[in-house]
Amino acid sequence: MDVPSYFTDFLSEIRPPKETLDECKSSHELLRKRLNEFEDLKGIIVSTFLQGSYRRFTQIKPCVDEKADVDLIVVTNLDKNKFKDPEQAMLLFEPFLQEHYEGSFELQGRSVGIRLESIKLDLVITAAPPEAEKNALKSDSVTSYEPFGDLKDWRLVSSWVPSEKRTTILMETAMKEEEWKLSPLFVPDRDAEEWVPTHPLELIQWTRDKNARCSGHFINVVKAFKWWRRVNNSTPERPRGYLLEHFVGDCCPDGIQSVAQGITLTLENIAEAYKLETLLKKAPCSSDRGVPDQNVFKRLAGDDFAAFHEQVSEAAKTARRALDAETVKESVDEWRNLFRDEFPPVDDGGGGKSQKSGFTERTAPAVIGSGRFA
Amino acid sequence: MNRYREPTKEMRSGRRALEDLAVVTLLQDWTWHKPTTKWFLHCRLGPALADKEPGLSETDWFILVHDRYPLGSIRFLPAKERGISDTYFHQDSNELGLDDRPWRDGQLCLQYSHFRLSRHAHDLEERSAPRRLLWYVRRAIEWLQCASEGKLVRDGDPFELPHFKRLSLGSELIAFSEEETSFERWSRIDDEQGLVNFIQLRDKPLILVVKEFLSLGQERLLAPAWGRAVKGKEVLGVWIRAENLPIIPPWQAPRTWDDLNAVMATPNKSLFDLLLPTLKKIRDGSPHTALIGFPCSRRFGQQSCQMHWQALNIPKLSNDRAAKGFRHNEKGYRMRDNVQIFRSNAKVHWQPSQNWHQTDIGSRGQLPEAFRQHHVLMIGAGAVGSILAELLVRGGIQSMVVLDDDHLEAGNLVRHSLHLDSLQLPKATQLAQTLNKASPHAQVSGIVSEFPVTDEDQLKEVQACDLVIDCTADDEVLLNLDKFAWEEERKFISISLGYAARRVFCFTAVGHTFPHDVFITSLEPWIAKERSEYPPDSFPREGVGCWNPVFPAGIGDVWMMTCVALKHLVDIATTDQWGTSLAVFEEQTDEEGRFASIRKVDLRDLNG
Repeated sequence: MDVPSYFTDFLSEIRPPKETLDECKSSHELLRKRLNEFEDLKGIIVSTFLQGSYRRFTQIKPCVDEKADVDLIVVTNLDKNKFKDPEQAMLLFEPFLQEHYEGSFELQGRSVGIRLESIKLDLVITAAPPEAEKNALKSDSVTSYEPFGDLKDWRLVSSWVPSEKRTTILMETAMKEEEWKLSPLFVPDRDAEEWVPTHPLELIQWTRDKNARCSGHFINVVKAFKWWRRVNNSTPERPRGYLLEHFVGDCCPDGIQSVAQGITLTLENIAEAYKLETLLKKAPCSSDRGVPDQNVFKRLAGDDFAAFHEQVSEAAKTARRALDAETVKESVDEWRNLFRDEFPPVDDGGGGKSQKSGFTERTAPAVIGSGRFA
Repeated sequence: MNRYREPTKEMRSGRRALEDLAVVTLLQDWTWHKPTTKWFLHCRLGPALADKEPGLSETDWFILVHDRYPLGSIRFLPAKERGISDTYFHQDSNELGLDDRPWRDGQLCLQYSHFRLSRHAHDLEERSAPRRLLWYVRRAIEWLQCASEGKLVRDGDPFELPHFKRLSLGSELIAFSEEETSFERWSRIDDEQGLVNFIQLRDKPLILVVKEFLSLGQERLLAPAWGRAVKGKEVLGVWIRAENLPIIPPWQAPRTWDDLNAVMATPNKSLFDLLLPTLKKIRDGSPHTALIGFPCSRRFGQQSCQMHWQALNIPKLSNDRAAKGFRHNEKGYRMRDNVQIFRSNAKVHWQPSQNWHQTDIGSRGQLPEAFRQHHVLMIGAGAVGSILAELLVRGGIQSMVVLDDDHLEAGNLVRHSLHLDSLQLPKATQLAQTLNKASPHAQVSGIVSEFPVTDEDQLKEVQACDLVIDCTADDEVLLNLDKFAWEEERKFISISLGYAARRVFCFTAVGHTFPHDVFITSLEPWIAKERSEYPPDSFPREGVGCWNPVFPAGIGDVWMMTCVALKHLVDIATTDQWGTSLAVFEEQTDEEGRFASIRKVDLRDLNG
């Protein structure tokens, strides 16, 4: 059974808490303010914006002892031809980081990690974009983050405004305007000593459109899938994070009517589609949404993928049983096999018989409410 | 203001439980409705209903709950879109309601205990978070099913009036008194309209009590009897009669004048043919109350057995002071009224009305019918007497004479039913005044005298009583009761308390005189026992300078034992065991001296 209200409550359990979302927004705004005011970086910063699962609403709450991972892009006008080794570009930010985030930052392969109180910012700098695109990259559409917004309201257009400034007329214009076609941004790969292309904005658009084709259920299927992976299988470590989201993007069919349906079909499609790859212990290939000639699964090990595929195949059977179950209790019990305790259980033994009739027999004695008078 | 208002865990658990019901489709999850400060669910109750009324399958509803779910109220309301628009039984008047909400006003009455549709008939309302909402939704489905089969009420169900929705926000009330006897008299009265005199019991909020029904020619037709406290200035109103309860099927009270005319008009007469002759008499520049009378029964399916009067407010009518541009005569006034007041789509200003006949207002807990017919003489208005008198009057005894020559003192307040405002005044008359306010039917009078009385009029009052209750604990009174020349056989009961009110002695007798000697013989062993248990100087003193022992007993004990005496009295009356006998009830304590129970004791307990 679909049990939509159970899924609604499950999803609200696995979402990041409101405080985390608020902190994402405020840390981003603070960082941007500090960057803009830092003397040595004046003239270098073009724009900053949030990317990643927080921006696409596909994030789940962090593990108990971990912080939420928030990805931030800082668009610069540093010429990648001048800074052939991207590390040089990253080092330009060191004085800024020393001043504002001393002791809390760390240079990583592709980004700078900044540990804040309850979130971990992953700062990625980019090389200069084409001149003509700079204004677009500074627009509200790109730079504002709405933690409680709706993907379907977002468009990559100049007339888009965040909700506090919005009016019906402005929204109508924004909905009708044609979206910008921007180029990929280049981000550092320190280990490879080169700049590599990425297109976070296109990915947000892709996610939005896919979600619309799935009646708004796609992002929830992604969350549920990530949660399943986390609570059931600690190994192999990969695939995780965006790769999981990408699998769902590839294998979840359009037109799903519920999260239950989506997760079941996704698991089944993954199980079905990659049988050959699993046999050959090879990771599949799939194009990056914004940079088609890049294979997102490039760094996924074949062994890891094979183990993952087996887990998916097993899970697909459980999901199918859950979806096809005829009583709420049977269905919910199976869903809980997949998602564990965050998926709410059936309360109070409510009904074990067929749902065809309007009533179920009372299985537990009624709680005495009235019967006392004054 | 919390931007992030989220439904609670309990509300979500309640909502999940609805997955159990295939006939329910959730259209919108828990949403906060600011104007009413409630959460609502928007749902559709689907087929699996009888086909008889196709309009009733697949209807949309709003369920409103309080933030504190599962505590607080739960309301089931039809949606404005795709919801039912008629009013049925067990439903509030289903008006469209305010604009700020997507639901109508016709709340379903789902706690009605006479819902006898399924085997879940005597379902106690569930109270836990997962089950309470489900319980209500199931009831709503039952309601829909019954409504579609025309089975919301069945023959034998207690009669229920439709919801005549009041327009004003006040708590005004119009009271009348009708039952079988008056119904029979109405059946012999031909008048279809007339005037009514009300007594204004109170101004704010307005309470009007019907004093008398008059014909158009001011001839008295009917006047209910009321108690002494029902008094006040007289106010004029009008009345008309309808052949039947005026409703729009299935069970909608008329909303507008047009509606009312449509349901009341007969081929020969319209509503205004009935009403107009009365309006002439109330063109005095003030609003008036009009009563529409119709026959009804106590249960559905039964013969009509009493009149019910539904009140409505008639605003100021035109008269020569108000009318402008219209002719200054009755015809002109009528035309103006039709335009100003009785417009087709103007709402009828219903006012709440209630039947204050003893059986109707006493239904929560009155004494047995036969018992209530007694004329009681209450001798002694002390702690016991004042409480017993109040129990009797509230329980439905209408006629009582209270006899006591004492005045209320401050030391009495600790267990008497009177208050500060009666201090230093005679207990008998003060108590009578207070008791008259305990019931609209109470006719209690007070005589400030000891027994026996000597005054002629007072003697008549005393002789008219058929049940004599002595609460004086005074032997001399009983001796006098014995000597008194009662005109007819009387029922006697003497009630007194033992030390600290641990025991209550209820002595009953029937006869032309009170058997004092039997009383003494019966009580003697008990008094002896009491004396042995409590030494004489264990009585507290009251005040300084005067050695005046007072009988110690807390209010709880006195009132409790008086109630026990009442129970005994009612038992005797209902089983008709008015012989000469003594009943003793005693408080029981456990090994540690704490209250455990009250037990009837007899001579064996005395010795054992």
